[in-house]
Amino acid sequence: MPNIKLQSSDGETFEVDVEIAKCSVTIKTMLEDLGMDDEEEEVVPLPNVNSAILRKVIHWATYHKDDPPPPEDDENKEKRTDDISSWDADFLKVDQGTLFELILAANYLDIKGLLDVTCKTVANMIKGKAPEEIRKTFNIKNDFTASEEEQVRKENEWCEEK
Amino acid sequence: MRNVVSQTDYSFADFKFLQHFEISNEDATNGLCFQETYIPEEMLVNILSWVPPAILLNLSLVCKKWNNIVKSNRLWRDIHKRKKANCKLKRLPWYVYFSYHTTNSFKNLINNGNGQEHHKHWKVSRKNMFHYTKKLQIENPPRGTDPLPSNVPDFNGHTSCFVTSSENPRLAQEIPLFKKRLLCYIMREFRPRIYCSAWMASRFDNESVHQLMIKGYNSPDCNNDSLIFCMSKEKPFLCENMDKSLIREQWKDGWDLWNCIHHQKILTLKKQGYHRKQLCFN
Repeated sequence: MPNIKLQSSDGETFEVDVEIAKCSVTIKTMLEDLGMDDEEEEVVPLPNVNSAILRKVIHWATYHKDDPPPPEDDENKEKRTDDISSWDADFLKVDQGTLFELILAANYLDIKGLLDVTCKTVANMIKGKAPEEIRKTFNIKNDFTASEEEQVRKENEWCEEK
Repeated sequence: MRNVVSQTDYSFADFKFLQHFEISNEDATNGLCFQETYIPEEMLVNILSWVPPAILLNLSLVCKKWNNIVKSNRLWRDIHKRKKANCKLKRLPWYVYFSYHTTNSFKNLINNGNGQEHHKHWKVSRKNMFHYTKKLQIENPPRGTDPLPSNVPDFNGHTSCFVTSSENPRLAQEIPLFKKRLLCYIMREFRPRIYCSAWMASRFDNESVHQLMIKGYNSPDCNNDSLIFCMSKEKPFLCENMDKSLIREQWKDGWDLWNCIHHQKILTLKKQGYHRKQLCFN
């Protein structure tokens, strides 16, 4: 099978099966637009992704290369956050920095499956936490004044009457 | 921005949704920097769209940026799009989608519509012309008709329903809208379809006519808005006599009285208030 070369922001080159690389819509479009020939030894530069992250992305894409394409508009199936496969869950047992860089890379490379699963993972981290814990986890500053916070609380209370 | 008011003088009439908070330059990336990594706002919207809608509002207390996102039309439209992939998206404010996805207000408003919890939530109307105090009885399964079909979502798998009688039984249920101020607000602003359903079958030994009705009341300050839903044999049922203290001026072009007349077969009431501007989610 033909390979292409992907170059990370820090100059490392990765040789990848074209079909695997094409799970990135960005790369797929690039190859089509540039009419890159399989024969040629072209290198696709990816200036927004460093080698550590690119290695992870390729690892993920290789494992998922035979996945059926995600159903586009499946109205009957509500999408959930607890349907992360155990392989993905293991794959995403990384430090927060890496996780967020994977989100950015998945977004830049336009890999929907990876973007969904990484965003779901962060959503799961947020799920059981109080605002104060979330601030601590992600290093966010509470920029409300006491009265602003009270206003927000009031509005929420009002909305939540069931 | 409105001032904070105390619980006691906090009434429906002066409620305004908060504007989005202005964020100073100094705090511009607060809430978007996760440890060291800067995440563009649209990525945070994506992440939050995976959080269960019911707990999202709580996240508005994290910081101003999160508050602005949690209470944004963009986020709630994304959530709605994901949950109802084929729907046409209406330009509605976030809180309408919030209410739709976190409450049962846009599903059947009637509690215990199958009589599955006996007479819970129902009461015999106080007015009693002929000195009957009979409640509509419940049969599980109804003996005078075929069993309830198993493929009707409203039944939720219940097999019981109310049954008619040759006497004059009745049941009424009041749905106190004023306890759900957001729903009240949305009803006034957007006049959505509402949906009520309860289930009644003929008893095996008679074929009497029964009616199901719904009537809405509103009040100038919304503090007494309610819906009254009743089932009875009488025709016409005098809603005015149900409880005078609840009666206020009826919504002009808002609510209507609905009757379904029924013989023999299982009857379903699926009626919606008619409104000029209808809000439909499907």
